[in-house]
Amino acid sequence: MTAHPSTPTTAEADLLAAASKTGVALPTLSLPTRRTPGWKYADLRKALSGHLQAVPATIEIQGIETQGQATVEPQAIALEPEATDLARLHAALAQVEQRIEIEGEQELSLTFAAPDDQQVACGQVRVRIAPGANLRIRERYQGDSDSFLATQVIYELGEGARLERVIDDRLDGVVLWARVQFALGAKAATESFGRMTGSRLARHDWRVDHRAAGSFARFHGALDLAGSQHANIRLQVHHHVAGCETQELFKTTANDRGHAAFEGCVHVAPGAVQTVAEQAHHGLLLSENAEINALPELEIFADDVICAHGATCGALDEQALFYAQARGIPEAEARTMLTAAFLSEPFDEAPPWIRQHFGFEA
Amino acid sequence: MLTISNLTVSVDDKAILKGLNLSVPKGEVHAIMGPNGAGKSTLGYALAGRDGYTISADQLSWDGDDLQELEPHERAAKGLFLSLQYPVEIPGVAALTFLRTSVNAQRRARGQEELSAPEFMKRAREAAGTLKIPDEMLKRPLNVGFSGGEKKRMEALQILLLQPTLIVLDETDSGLDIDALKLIGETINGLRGPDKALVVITHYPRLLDYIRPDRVHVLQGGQIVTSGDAKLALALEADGYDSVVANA
Ligand SMILES: Nc1ncnc2c1ncn2[C@@H]1O[C@H](COP(=O)(O)OP(=O)(O)O)[C@@H](O)[C@H]1O
Ligand SMILES: [Mg+2]
Repeated sequence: MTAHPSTPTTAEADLLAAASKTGVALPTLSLPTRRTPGWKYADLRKALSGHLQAVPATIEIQGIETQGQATVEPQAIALEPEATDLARLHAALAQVEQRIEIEGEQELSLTFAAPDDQQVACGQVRVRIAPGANLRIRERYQGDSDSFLATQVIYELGEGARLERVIDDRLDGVVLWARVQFALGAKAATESFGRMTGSRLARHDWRVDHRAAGSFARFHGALDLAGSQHANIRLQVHHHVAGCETQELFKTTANDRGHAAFEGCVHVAPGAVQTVAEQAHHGLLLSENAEINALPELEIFADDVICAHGATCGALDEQALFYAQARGIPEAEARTMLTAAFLSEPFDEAPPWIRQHFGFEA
Repeated sequence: MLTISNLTVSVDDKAILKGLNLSVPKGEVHAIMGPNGAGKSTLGYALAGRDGYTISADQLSWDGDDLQELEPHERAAKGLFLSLQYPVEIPGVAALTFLRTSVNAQRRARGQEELSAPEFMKRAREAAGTLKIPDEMLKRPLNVGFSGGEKKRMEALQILLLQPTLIVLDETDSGLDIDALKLIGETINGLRGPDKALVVITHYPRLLDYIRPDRVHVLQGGQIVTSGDAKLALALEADGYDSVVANA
């Protein structure tokens, strides 16, 4: 029998108690379930079943000390008025955000490590990239405990700023809720390239706001799910003004009982003419019990835009498999080769340092 | 010797080859000709061991090995090479990577040491030079966006690098212009030798100007209906299948 939402689960009760200790009034908390709008593919309530003890987040920030031109300061977290229960809980438990100011050219790595079994850790980082500055960042999520890791990273790009970002997750067992926001100034550009293998439940919420003309955002990712790994990427892009561009390309393979859900929505506000937004998702099902859901969406309220979306899902190309075998490549090796080839496309146009990071020839 | 005796092949319960017999001794080149839909490509797939073909045969062997006992990649390691009528595109795998993977997989299967990267590159460049394949093409994903002729050149390149002993060419001449036909025909003809057997499947006898067959067989209705020497190919071209088969 499922508990009625008004009866807190053990985890909900623990989280409420932990929040109250921080002095933040949080009258109620109901964790999202499949019926909560926006959470169809990530049943957080179900995934967090046992006790949870709140501990401070482990956030490792590497690279700035040596460069001298960036600073890190802890700051109080400001909540938006429309913040959800879950966002309020996150803010209460994170208590502060690490604020990183970037000038000139910087290279950083930002690692969120999951806490121990039966623990919850919430962390928040704000990265402000000054006008004209350049940042290369490696954003990582790591851990293999039976825990809950909730993170938020906010990237604010000034005019003409540039952000090149790698997302790398190595998770197993952890329940992850990773929010990332991008606020893009005029002519700012950001490119993200990710390789993800999911987790017990891995929910990535990315939100992009094109707020001034000429900004550009690219999100390319490869999801490779096996075992019972789960990943849900929800990418919301808002074109508020004219003349900005978004490019999305995601490729997913799911083996065993792996489950991937990609939800991409591009909103083009009235007046955001000459928007260019293209999104594509291609899935490869490698087992009968695997599942891939792809829901690209467009909400267009402006004329004179170039918007397209496409989604395909299929099995490994039998002809290609036979061809490789007929040339002497054993079946298992051929499958691995073809799967890796399928997942490599999102990295075709990545900057050389990112291609190298993922083990491709620069 | 390639020995095929009483081979029947069906796909989705549809019989395509119906008791086919064929022997190709080492050192010989045999041509298989026949109208569209006769089952020529099916014969190639059955030899290579493609999934989805239901096969029965009294004998299907190459050089003493029962092919039916072997997986497709094991047949390749035993020397079988099937050049496809429509070579497959492999997105995301550079031609060179594919070639090196197959060369080394076959070497491993035969208990030979893998080729080092420089040694492989040397051989690949040399073979590509022979076939006038530019370096740039070797770096592109295999066959993706290649013209029909370029795909056939890549097949020939694979033959040069893999050094198979039983070569089955399925309509290698289709899609080739005269210069490419001559180049590929002469290159493959140069591979003839006492330890090799060639089966040249073709719809038109053009390729046979460059690779002269010792025997020509006509495949029709799932069987070899008539056989002869190289002159049979000319008769087929002049008079068509129906009259040649009727007069046989
Ligand atoms: N996968 C398949 N499924 C059903 N029928 C097939 C299949 N492959 C070939 N055939 C049929 O088998 C016959 C022989 O085909 P094929 O071997 O390609 O002939 P050829 O190469 O001589 O032109 C044709 O009638 C063709 O339609
Ligand atoms: Mg054919």
